[in-house]
Amino acid sequence: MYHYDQIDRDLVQARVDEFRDQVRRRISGELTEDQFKPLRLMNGLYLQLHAYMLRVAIPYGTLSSAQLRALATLGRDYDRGYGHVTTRQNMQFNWVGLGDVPDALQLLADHDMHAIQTSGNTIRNTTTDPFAGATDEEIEDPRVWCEVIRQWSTLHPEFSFLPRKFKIAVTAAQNDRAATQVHDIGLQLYPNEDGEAGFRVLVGGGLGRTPYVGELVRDFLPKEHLLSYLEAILRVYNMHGRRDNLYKARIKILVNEMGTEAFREAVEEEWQRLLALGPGGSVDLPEAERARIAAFFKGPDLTADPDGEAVLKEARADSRALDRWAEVNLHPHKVSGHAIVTVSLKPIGKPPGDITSNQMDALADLADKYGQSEIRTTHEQNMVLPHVRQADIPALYQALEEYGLASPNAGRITDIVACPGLDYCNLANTRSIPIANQIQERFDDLDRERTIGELKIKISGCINACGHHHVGHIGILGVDKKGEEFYQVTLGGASDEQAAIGTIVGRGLSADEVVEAIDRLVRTYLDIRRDAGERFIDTYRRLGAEPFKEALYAEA
Amino acid sequence: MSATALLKDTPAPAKISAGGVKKTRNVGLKTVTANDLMSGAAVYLTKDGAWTEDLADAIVAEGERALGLLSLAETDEARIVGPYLMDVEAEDAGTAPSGRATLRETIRRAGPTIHPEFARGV
Repeated sequence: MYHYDQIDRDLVQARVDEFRDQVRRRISGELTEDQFKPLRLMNGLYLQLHAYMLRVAIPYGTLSSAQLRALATLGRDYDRGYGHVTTRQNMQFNWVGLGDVPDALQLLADHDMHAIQTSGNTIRNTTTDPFAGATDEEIEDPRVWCEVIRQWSTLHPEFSFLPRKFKIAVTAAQNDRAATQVHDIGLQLYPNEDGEAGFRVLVGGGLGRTPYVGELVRDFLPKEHLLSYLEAILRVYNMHGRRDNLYKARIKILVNEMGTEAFREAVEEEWQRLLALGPGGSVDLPEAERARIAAFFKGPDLTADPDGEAVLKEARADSRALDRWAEVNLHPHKVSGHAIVTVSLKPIGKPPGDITSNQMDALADLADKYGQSEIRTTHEQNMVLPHVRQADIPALYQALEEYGLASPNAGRITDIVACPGLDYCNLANTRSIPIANQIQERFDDLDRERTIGELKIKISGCINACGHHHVGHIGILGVDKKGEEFYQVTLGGASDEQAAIGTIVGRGLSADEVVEAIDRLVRTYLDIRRDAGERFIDTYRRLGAEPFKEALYAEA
Repeated sequence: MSATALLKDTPAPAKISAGGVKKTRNVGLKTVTANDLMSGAAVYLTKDGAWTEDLADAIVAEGERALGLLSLAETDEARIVGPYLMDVEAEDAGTAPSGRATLRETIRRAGPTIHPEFARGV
């Protein structure tokens, strides 16, 4: 994985020192809150309902065990002993005191991390496939390009005050685990007919109050031109994006208002201007620099273990619990005898995505022992150990279980994505986490959950859609009706390669009605699905909303 | 101004911030609330001009007096951030949040509903 060089280190350290002084000046009264607020937001520091919240960037969701231990320490020393994995693969801390923030940032800097550009109208953390570098589905490791984008976009002077925040996701696998189609820019790395890798470029996807699936603006972009093309897109956005209306400022609105063709032409014109500058003038990365960055992502030297599969198979035959967990929490690895392990952060009845400092330390130890010291965060608020020998899986499972990290539910109905909601968030209208917990408790039956199969529920406590409800197979959006919590259900959303925005099927439900209504939806699905292999989303796509709509409001 | 407003004897008071993205009108009993500068905790203005985490000790006012207290609070940047007027009502047990933002203010007062271990004294 990538390690900071001296330039990275100097830049981050300078920022810590600068913010330490800014905090001091705010406390002493030299800075007003109006002056301080944009400065703290540039360093990922929000003020929520109960306390300051520090959002730490985890570039493309990749962490070393040492970094995870640093996050555990941050949680323990400066927060209340836990962190929260976000839908942008970052980690938030909900109870940080203002006076402690400079020391917390210093701790991060000492471990090659920061909180820069986790807020504000800037290019945010680039997200990617949490299985990157481990899955055999990808053409190459997309994190190389994520790191290229990170270096290009960090403190980019031209793009530090965009009309609105800007999110980029990259995948290099056909199976899109990075939600690329619902990002401001989605990059899909794939081979053309000649076997050369390049990017399919989608622009203008997004969630929030106006959800869109991204528009294709370039079918094949040679890799070496990634930065100049991104720069052209950002320039067109920066020039033409609306700054008069907060709700119309995202690039998706610009693409929609201009029309895809006109937008594409504007980008092309700007891009040609950049390309004309030639190697010395364009921002495109010299091959030597790309190769330098790529070398960090060579990955661990894993030795194929032809016996591993049999060892695991035998252990699964002996342990039903291990078998049930392995069924959904393991994915194939590109090296035989290895597996990718999803560590679910969705135990029944706990806030989705929360992980205690003790659990972080334990997971870091397990990553050292079994997983090449590497951990990933996912946009579905889980963690991943990307490189584990199959022969080590039984021991790993036992250890995970000991620390409450072995929930056997990856991709299942209790693996719910939920924003912090009104329990923490200053913008939320309703709570999300209690609804997630109630649904989890209703479906806390492994046999039933297994019968239901893959079903993704995503919950947001307001229209900003941090819980990605638009792309849940079942989406739940909290709305405030005269001070009461109501929940609007959407159906048929997806963030994978068949991305779709869910359809609102009717009036909002009261908090008391939601769980029973979801149960009726699920029972209906089980009744009408073609066979056990047809997932909820497949049934919805085959039959549409009507049978589900009837179920949703049957007894409400 | 809308026709409805023109036909009224007294136009409705202008909307004011009610915390977060919420708006309200300056009608009824109010308390000034904010976040503590250092901890970020929800705090309330007392009759002595101090700040307390206990809503029971908050000063309650309405109308111009409430706006005056808010103006006073806005000058206290050394101690607090983002003051606004929240709706309250007098109950037997003391002052309690009321109005459209009751749930939000109840959670600010008591702590997250999902973490009873972090509950504040109510």
